[in-house]
Amino acid sequence: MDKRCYFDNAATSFPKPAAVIEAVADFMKHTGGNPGRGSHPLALAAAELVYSCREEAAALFETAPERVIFTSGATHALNLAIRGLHTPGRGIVLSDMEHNAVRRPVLALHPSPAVFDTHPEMPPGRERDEAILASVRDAIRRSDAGMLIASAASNICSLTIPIGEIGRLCRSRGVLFIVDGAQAAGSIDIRMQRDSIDCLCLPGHKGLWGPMGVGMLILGPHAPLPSPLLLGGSGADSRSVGMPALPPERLEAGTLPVPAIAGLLAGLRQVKAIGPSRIRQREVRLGRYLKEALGGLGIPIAAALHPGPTVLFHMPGMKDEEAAALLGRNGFCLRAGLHCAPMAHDRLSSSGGIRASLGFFNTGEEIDSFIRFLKTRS
Amino acid sequence: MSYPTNRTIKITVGSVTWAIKARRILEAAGIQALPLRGGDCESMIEIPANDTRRALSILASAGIRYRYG
Repeated sequence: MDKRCYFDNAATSFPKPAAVIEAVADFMKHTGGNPGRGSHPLALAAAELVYSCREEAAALFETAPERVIFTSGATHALNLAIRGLHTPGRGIVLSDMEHNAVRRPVLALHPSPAVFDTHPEMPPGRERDEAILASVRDAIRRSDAGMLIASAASNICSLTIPIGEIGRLCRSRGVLFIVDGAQAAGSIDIRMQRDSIDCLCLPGHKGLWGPMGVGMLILGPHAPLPSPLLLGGSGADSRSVGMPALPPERLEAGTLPVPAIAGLLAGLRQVKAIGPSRIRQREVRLGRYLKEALGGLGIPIAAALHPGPTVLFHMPGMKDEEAAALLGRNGFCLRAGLHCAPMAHDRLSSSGGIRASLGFFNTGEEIDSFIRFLKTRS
Repeated sequence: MSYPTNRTIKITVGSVTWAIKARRILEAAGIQALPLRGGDCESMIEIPANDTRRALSILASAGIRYRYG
């Protein structure tokens, strides 16, 4: 094997488009200033670049630029939203497929959150959506919920949930709706206003093709402002004891990851140019091709009914970690284990597995190469 | 409140983000507002003479809070 096949896009997307890499290098070579920390030309140029990234994200997700808050990643964004908006004494609802980036901050605030069923055993369609909504209604009612957090797409399989309908249900019940868009942004159409989302938490480095080190908390037009997690320099009104009153600077203490934001801006423009729906179509097609090929080898897939690029399976006769190590030595990059999502694995009655998470830049030839290798092991 | 309409004015908005937002809104309306340079001026912009009334009206309509100076 003289070429690596990267099947770990759920961890981070790779390779990045050339424009993203060039944007990071260009910023570090030619701009380099710290936005909001001076009004000299390089600081102003950096501030304009950061604002342009806010604008691009705001247009894609349907909000105003100043409601795009930069963070270090989706986990930071989720902590900011969950911990910054939780009202002590109120209940919290989450789905049964959540990543530790949701589960851990929720459990730190509330020992027994209510959980709604995402029905992975049901095929996608109206019947499943109605079953999910019934479970959401029940969870909200019995928990006196003040907020509901759900992942738009799972990180261990191709399961998605009807975000818009859940959002409208939450809005009608006065429940804040926080979406973990880590596995959905860039390929699944998510809009703050249409889907009644209060907070959308995203990494810059997965489906938006930016570098690691940046994420976003995107606030809906009428969402309350979370309390800041971090206090510190904000670049203006230095004499004030408190953080600025308005977003985004109220929630962005300290220096922003500007080189990563430069890369994210390029990534957002690439996603916009290609179009999320076209990206999704390709990823679904690749996922189907891989699932069918694995099925041809007699390898069962978890949550196989749901179309998409993320495939969870076991290699026959091998422990998952040993299999992943073997695959890695032979050029195939996949992740084994619980994928920081024990809740999701429990829901699928899984003790873990090997995850192949395909991306837009994967090819059918790579999948063919993978299957040929698996055949040599059977 | 009265304000000068025959010379440039400087206003301070909430932050550098709001200053850029304000300048881009004004630019879209054909008004070339400028960032200020030097000192703690990141959140300040300068509005050209003869455009001040229209510019301030546009900023107010856009919900952008500002103060003079």
